[in-house]
Amino acid sequence: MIFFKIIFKRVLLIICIVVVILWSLFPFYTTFIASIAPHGNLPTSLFSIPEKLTFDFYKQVFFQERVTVWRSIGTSILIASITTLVVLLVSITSGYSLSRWRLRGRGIMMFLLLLIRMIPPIIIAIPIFQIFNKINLVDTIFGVALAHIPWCIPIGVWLMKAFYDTVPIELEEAAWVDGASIPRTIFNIIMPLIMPGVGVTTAFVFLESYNEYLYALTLSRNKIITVSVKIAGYTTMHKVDFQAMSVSAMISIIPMLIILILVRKYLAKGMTLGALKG
Amino acid sequence: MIRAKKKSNLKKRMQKVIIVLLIPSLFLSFLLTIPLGYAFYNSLRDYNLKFGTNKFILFENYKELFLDTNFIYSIGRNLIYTTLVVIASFLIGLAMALLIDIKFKGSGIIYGIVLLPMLLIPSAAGTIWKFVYHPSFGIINHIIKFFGFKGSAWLSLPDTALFAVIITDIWAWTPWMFLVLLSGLQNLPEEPLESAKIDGASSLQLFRYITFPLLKPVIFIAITLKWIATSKAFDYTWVMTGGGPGGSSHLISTYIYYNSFNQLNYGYGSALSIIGGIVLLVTSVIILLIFKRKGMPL
Repeated sequence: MIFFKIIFKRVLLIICIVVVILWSLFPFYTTFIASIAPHGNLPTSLFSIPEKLTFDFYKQVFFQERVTVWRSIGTSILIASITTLVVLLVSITSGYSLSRWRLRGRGIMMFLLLLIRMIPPIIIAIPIFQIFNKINLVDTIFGVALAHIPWCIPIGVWLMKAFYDTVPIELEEAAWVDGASIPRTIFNIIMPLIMPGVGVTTAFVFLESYNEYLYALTLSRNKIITVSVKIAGYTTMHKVDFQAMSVSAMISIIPMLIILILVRKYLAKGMTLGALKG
Repeated sequence: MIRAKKKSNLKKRMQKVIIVLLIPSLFLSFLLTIPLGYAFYNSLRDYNLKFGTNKFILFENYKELFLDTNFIYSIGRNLIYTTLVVIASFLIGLAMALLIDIKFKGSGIIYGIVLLPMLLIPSAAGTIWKFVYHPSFGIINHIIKFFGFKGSAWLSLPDTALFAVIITDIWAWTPWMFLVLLSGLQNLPEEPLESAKIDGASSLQLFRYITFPLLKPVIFIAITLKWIATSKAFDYTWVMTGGGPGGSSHLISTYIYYNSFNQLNYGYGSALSIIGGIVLLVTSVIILLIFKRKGMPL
């Protein structure tokens, strides 16, 4: 009887695993097949595999399109880098304040930052477009980055605060008593301890900006095209090109993959604004 | 004596430093109020680029908006969308987290596979799923036909379009839930579980009486943050259906975008923005407060 129970548990586990794998992977499977199928020879039934393989779509997406996938990834990376740099500077300083602030009003400040995350970005898309149009920021890398910055500040500040919280304040107090100035305390004593926090904040702000679609769509016209806009642009009213889209979508994973591997230890912490330990 | 004095002096200077260090983030966040004010100003005007009108009409846009059934429906749809996505991704994510937490052979590889959907940019995930749902080339119809049923044009029928997008959102966001819940599970204290096991509790009882109560704070955080993120949903819907067919899958954000940038009706779009923004903000704050009262550490 116990023997059957063990077998039953094993089988159940295997079924669960198979279901999980199929659920997570099947869109990737069709995407991959579509990227190597000859032009117009998309599979029409479940197990049909294209008879011939081509890399035409890779060639097209890598070299021949007006804005190649590399260029749009580069654009996205530039935008995300500018955003990250600004947000990082701001959150290293403000995160410190919010962590060390023992006065009333800290809770309200944290809540206000969370409130910014609750506002749907769409509601100021028109004014942003109008203002940026006036000051010639539409269709520029700096413009898109500027639109991303305020929305990324809450994540940055919440995350940095969470990391500062892990450093006991006694450390600083000891340094002050020994005569160190406040800036020196921050730079020489605290900073080395929260370098992982800076890394994680960098990664998550970067991803937030890299993934962003709404403002990229509103503010980029034809000079700059971010990856998020480029990939969605393969399927419009006028043309549908699933095969080239598949190639672009797979390539766009690379920066994400690198960053997530770098911060894998802190993924959950980063994704909950630092509210989780670990 | 001197030490104590030095310390209190520093504390005072510290307060000043703290306030100065807050200024940059306050300033940058405060920048958002400029476009917000501008949006309100726009919303009081008959401002339509298509017809070239631009004049002051006070609250006419708002009057129109409350009679606009499409907008009212999109609020309802937004609520359904958010609720379904949050609940489903939570349940699936929890199931996956419990599965990986068993730590069988190869669970590390499964862990990586489960996270894969998270790698896609949302707009790319939406486009891929548009392909997945395609009537003749999409794998969904291939699977259905394999089992002998008839496929459908999921994204071009008003009855299924919204739910097709909801499934995409669930697929793309379950890894996030999974990751947060798994990390919560792995940070749980060992002792209560061990002692309950010694007392002979079944695995169902273990989950019901030990794991679940201990995991509650993490669950609350996960659900609240997921709610906040999903209520603003735009990417998947816009990429996959554009709010169609016939406006049957518009959410608040997509309906605002459609009116603002497709119809070029800046005045009406701005009025929609103000009311839609308030609706979403209020629901998110309510969710936050409910869970906060239940003891969420956020």
